[in-house]
Amino acid sequence: MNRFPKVRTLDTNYAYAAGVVSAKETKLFDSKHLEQLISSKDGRELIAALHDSDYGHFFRQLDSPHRFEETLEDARIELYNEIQDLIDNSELLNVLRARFDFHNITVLLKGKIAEEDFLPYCSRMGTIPLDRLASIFEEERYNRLPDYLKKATEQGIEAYYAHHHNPQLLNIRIDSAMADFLTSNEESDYLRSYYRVWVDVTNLKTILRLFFLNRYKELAEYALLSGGFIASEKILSWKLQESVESLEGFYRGSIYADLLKYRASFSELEKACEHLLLLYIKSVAYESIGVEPIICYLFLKENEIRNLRLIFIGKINGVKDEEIKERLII
Amino acid sequence: MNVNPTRMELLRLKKRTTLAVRGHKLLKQKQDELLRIIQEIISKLSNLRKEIEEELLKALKKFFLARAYQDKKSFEASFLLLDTDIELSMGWKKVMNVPLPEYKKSLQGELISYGFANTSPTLDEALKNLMVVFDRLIELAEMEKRIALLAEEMKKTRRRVNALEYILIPELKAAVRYINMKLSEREREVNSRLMRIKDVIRG
Repeated sequence: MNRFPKVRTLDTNYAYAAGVVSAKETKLFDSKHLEQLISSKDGRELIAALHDSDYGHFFRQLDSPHRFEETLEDARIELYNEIQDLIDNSELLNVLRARFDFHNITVLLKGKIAEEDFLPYCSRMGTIPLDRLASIFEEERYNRLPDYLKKATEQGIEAYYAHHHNPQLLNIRIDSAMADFLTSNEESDYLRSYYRVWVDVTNLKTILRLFFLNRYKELAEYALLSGGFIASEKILSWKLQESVESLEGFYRGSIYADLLKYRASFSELEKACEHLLLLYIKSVAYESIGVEPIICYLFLKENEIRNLRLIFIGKINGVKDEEIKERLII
Repeated sequence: MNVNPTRMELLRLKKRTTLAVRGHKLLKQKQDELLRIIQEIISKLSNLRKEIEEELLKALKKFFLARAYQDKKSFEASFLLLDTDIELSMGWKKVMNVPLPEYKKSLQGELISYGFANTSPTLDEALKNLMVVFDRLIELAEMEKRIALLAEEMKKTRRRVNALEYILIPELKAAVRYINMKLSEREREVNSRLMRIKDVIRG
């Protein structure tokens, strides 16, 4: 793939909602605003600086910067609720929240194996209420889960026991099931293409990570996700076994070729990957109708929350302003 | 020193003095060697500590940045079920007859037990770096414990050297001198008595 797939928005159902989010988009932090936040002396000053922002009502109640995660989680929950009010397509909402469901089943499955209560690690943003999910896992009645989650759970269990109780395979198998679900959604071409690009970028990062860990031969066939624009089978059939250098030849001419320039530094590579995904997200920023601007807003807001998390973590742990700035994804 | 001024006692004390002087010399050598070993470890230790601090800072920074990629729950969930078993065992090695600890770490399973789709590649780097720092921290702990034990032994040795040098050896030498004096006096007494008897007999 040498350019992003073109997205055509013809759905006029979301004209009002698209208007609402385009008004909200003006409140998103720009790079100047984020730099101002970074220049805060410490976590407390950062909280004070956020009082007048869109997050003001959350941060005004926060007494310690060390509890910023709970506040950001509340902000994300509110964000997903807002999006739910704007989109009346439950299938699409399921796709948007699916990552949290997959996270939750992974956590509960691990809890089941370890015979411990891991419920506090579950996300409140999934589509299935946590108490219901917990009772399903407690009673092992997985057929009460939606098909895609049931399948993922069963695959996770099978992978764990088939590979000598290896928890990494459990994670990998559920991640694969999630990628399959996200890249096969029929609800939005834009969203599907986003996830397909995400799969490609994740696969590229995974290859480099496996080489870094000297585990390419052992794990590549399980760890590479399917559903991307570049089929995982094609990657596996490429002669990567000998060296990672040949990766450049494989990706030559695709939109991912430039990412390999950053392979010497994982932090730069990660930033470049996120930047590429952001470019795709923003490709519909000027659309005025359709569900795409709403999804675009959701992703931009998620990115903003991640930037805030980075600034908080940096400030609390004494990371230099310049280093925080370098990692921002704008 | 309360001693009987007899020849037997003199011989015994002379033997004890020779032994004490020899012991003092050996202990002094031990003390010097212990000091040399401690100095050697200290010079390594200060460099090691500095290097560990720098490496730890780098690794932690990477860890924090990797942490920012995910929300707290997702990050913590990545480490919920681990395939990693770290065992730390301790053995002993004798240096100058001082038992010094030897720590040995063994890692079973894989250090990285999470999936790749929702975690940051920086986390792999951070964990690998932290593992290297962990090995060096064990080395540091081993050295610090060794220094503490060697310093304790050094203190004991110094006390013994001082006791020999300033108390036992001078006392033994004084006792030998005293017996020698007493024996000479007694010999002179016998001589003068014999001369007097000789004079009386002749007289």
